[in-house]
Amino acid sequence: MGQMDLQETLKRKAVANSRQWRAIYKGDTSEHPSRLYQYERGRWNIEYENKYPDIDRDNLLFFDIIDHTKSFIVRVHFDDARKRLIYRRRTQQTGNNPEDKNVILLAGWQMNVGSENVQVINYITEDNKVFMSSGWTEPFGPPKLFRKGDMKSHPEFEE
Amino acid sequence: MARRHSPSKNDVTLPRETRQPIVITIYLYAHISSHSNWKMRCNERTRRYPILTATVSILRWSGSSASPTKTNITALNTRATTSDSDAQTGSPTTNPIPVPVSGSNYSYWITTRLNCSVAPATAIQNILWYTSGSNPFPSGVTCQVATVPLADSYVQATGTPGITGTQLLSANYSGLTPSPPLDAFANYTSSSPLTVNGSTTGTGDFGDYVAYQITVASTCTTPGPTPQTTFTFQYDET
Repeated sequence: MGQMDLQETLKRKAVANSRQWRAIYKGDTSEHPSRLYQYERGRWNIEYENKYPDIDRDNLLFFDIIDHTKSFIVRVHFDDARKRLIYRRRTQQTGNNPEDKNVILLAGWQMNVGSENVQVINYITEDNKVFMSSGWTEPFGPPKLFRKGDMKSHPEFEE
Repeated sequence: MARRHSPSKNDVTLPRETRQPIVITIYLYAHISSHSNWKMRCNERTRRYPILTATVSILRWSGSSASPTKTNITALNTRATTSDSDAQTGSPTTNPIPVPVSGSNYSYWITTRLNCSVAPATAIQNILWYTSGSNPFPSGVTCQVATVPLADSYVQATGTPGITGTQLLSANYSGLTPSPPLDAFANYTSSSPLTVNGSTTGTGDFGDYVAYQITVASTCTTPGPTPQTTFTFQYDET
């Protein structure tokens, strides 16, 4: 990888790493639902991280993956009380340098319908491409189609 | 004698209409300030994010079981040789694996494990290991891989330096799963990975060991440095 390519890769990864989750709760009024961001500022303007267990998963209206402008990339609707949140930050790591780590965010829901276990997972790649899967047939992450080399071998995915 | 300040036109309280532009100016300043803060927040976010998420490294274990050396493997820079001391800096001419006249020679087995230096927000789990699924090595060169549960501790690779390593088998490395180890490229891909048991909520080494070994059969007709290959660890963080 050339120096320019490396710089570009690191820059792209820095932008990708600025993504975070946002939980929007069923508030008292639909106009002003309360929100919980993964990264928030507390006393003295010091940033801190809300963790996965901090999410009130029984009171979710939406669960968003948002970029640094706080625009959502994916919004998961919790319009059924049986839906349970799925969120993971998946890393595919081939070495120990920043450019060797590929991060995929997983956001979706799981629901028991009768005796059937149903789930939907969105896989959000570093360039914000979204793959949706049932999560049962492809439990290990999205196909590696978002990588340039792989796309060449899959003409239907050429941009 | 100090000069006495005399009222100027600027000191006179301006009528309401002429004060309006001042208010607008303050508003513009506030707007610019806000924009500046926004940029600063973006920079802070990209800068501080790695601090708040787990920092995981792949370490190659070598040396004695009592006092192993844990080498941080940087990208594509670890080498399989017939020595236990070439974890990172081995060169193609130092302890290569000779092509045997008959049978197979082996590299010293390579033991790797994940290490977390900055703890995850909650936990790291669902560890997997896989290859590209395509063997880039010359004909007759393969790679076998297995995990080693934590109940069975790390075992230093042994063999005859410059000739062959000891074969990676349960008899030599207790706890190998599966046993015997399977061909890495033929069996473990992103859609069919090797499951690595273990998880962590803090810092330090975690997960089972992943041990692999290069086998060079007498059928190999292309001596010399092989092409590089990439092995991937995958894990989920919450």
